Amino acid sequence: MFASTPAIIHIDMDAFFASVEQARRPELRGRPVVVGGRVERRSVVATASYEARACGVRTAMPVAQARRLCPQAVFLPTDMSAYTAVHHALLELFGRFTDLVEPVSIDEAVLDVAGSRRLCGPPRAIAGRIQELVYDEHGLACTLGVAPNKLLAKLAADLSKPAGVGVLSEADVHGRLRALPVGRLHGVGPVTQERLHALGLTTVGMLQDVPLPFLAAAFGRAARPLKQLAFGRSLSPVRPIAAAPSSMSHETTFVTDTAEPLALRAALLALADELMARLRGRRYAARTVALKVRDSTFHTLERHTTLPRATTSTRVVYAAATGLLDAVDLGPRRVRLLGITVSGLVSGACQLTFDDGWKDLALDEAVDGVRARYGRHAIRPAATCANRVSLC
Amino acid sequence: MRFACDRTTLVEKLSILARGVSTRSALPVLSGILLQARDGRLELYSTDMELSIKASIATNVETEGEAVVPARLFTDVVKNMAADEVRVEAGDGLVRILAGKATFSLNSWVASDFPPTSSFDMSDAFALGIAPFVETLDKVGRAASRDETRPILTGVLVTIGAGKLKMVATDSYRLSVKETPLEGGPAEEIQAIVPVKALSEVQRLGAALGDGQLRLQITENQALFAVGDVWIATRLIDGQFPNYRQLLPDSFDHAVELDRAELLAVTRRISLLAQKNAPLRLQFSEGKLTIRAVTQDVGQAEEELDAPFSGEPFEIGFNPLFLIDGLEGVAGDSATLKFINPLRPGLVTGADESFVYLIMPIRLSS
Repeated sequence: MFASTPAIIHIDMDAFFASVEQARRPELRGRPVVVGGRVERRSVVATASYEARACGVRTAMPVAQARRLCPQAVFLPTDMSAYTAVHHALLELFGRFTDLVEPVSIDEAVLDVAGSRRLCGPPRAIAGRIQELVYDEHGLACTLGVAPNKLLAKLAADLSKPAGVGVLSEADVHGRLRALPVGRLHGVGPVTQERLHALGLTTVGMLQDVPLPFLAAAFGRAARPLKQLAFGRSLSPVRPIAAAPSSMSHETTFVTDTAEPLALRAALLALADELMARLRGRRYAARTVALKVRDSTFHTLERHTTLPRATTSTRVVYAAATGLLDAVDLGPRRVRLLGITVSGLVSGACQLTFDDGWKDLALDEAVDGVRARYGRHAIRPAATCANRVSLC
Repeated sequence: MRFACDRTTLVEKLSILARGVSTRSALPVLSGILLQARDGRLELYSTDMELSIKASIATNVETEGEAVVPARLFTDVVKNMAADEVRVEAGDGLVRILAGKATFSLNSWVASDFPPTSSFDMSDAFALGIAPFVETLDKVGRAASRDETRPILTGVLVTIGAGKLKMVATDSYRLSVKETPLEGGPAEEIQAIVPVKALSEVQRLGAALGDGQLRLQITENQALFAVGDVWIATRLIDGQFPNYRQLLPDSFDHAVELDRAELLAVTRRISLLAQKNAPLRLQFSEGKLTIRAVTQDVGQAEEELDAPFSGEPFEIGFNPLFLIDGLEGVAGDSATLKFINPLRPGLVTGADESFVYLIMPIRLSS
């Protein structure tokens, strides 16, 4: 509310999923850990610990390939609810220093601590304190960037990974920043980088020095924002509430392709169960349900339906999804992948109607409660057990 | 067609007719008002094919005839005339309006393009008091849905029998049921789902008249009301009205009787801070009720009332407007709130239970 020197801290959790697993299973500490399911499920790597990264394992790499590169690694299924729980706990921790906490993603957050100086000390000290607390309370490592704005704070964190605290000031814009490759700037993607390289602009310093008209000849209107990036200028404020997602989805690939109606239904139930728990966890309700079906020939189709009203109910979304699946003529083909996407999300208070089966609501609430207390696998629909469907 | 008419009376009737005019129809003629002059009377009709309105004015008819005038423009012209009397003449596809030294000519439609008007025959009508009808509708009508995606919920289930009038409406968030004793009425009980839009017009006209009788006739597919010298015809809604008795829980775990006026005042006050769909939170604990509201980025409010509550404390959320509608419907000095749990409907009722109002809660985040 009062003008003060801006102070932004960007926090990036190091190898977040893998670190959460190592933190709760001490025997995994120091060992390569790969989170992202199993080879037989044809899944990809969600996160690799630094020990596994040393072997060349990267995010989004097929698990089979990761296993070849790092056979000694421990491969674990993704336990999203556990990571989400830690994410929320971390947001609470950050909230002790400032009200202005923006969750950027599950493993990143931005804090505006300009108003916290008097109470908590200078920004660099706050960053150090947060790093200590995150380790003490959760056994997790994180990297922090301290700077006058979001752009530079993220860059400062990027430059200090892992487990570091980086500080960038206005002065660094004309110093340290100049030697960095243009690709390090958040906002310069592979395509832009390629085009800048073609113009002979490889470092941030070069981008700073190049006359605007020269840049405009190649980039048009995008030239000015590029120059702003090069000088580390960003006016984007810290927004305490995460931007509302437009949709949420969940999908699963079968171990072996199937056309078995019971197996398909069980998979849909498991998907709806997981997806709706996540939706409820974020306090949303959804109006539109879309079904994605990919067959053995990799032919993919999508069908969607709009509900009379937004819902939080697992059963309602499951019923909508099975209705959509029933209307799909598979012929002799088998299903390789099924996915459910919910969109038309509305947040906040949920007005119940007479049509809401209150027993469904109470059931969802009870299941969410059991999971919050005993973990994601503590309880699940019996139908998904009978068919041994798992989303790991 | 040629007639002369008192300007104020004509304007008054035209503004009633305007509610039946359809400006967005595929049929342009429905944006007009049909004028028929014969036997010393001017009769005016408008319709949107669901709702039709007729009005009648005793007037000096010089030449009988009929024409359809553009509703909005004709009304504005008549309204803006300076003289107390207006003359209207029709011929050659034009309608002329003359008053004092002013002359207007408006393009018009031929009367044969207008939908048939024979539906105003009231030979089987019966009479009932305006006051009980308006009172019942006032308590129930607001619970009817305005959302056309479920047409059945845009209707009010009206039951009229010897000695009683009953109306039921629900928009799936709340249910309102009101039973009122009636003098007269039909010998055999009749029941129909009447669109709330038509009922609101009847309510408006009835409230303006105050006391007296209205006449009602319900046939297989339409309801016809006569209020003073205005008739309202509406298509009935076809289908099965929700079984509202099934929605009413057999029993409740908590019943709290409160001073109605005080509860209503507190609810209205605290609702000021329940903006942007924020719920009104009712917190019950031993001997008291705390009503709270929080609107993010705006502020919060809370107020405590003494309440005869005992047992495990609990909190339930409601849309403030829904709760206010319910409390306003209760007659008498006290209102009773009944609950089962925060996921099941709450009941608002008065001492005699002739008015029952059920509201679904807003789910509160824990």
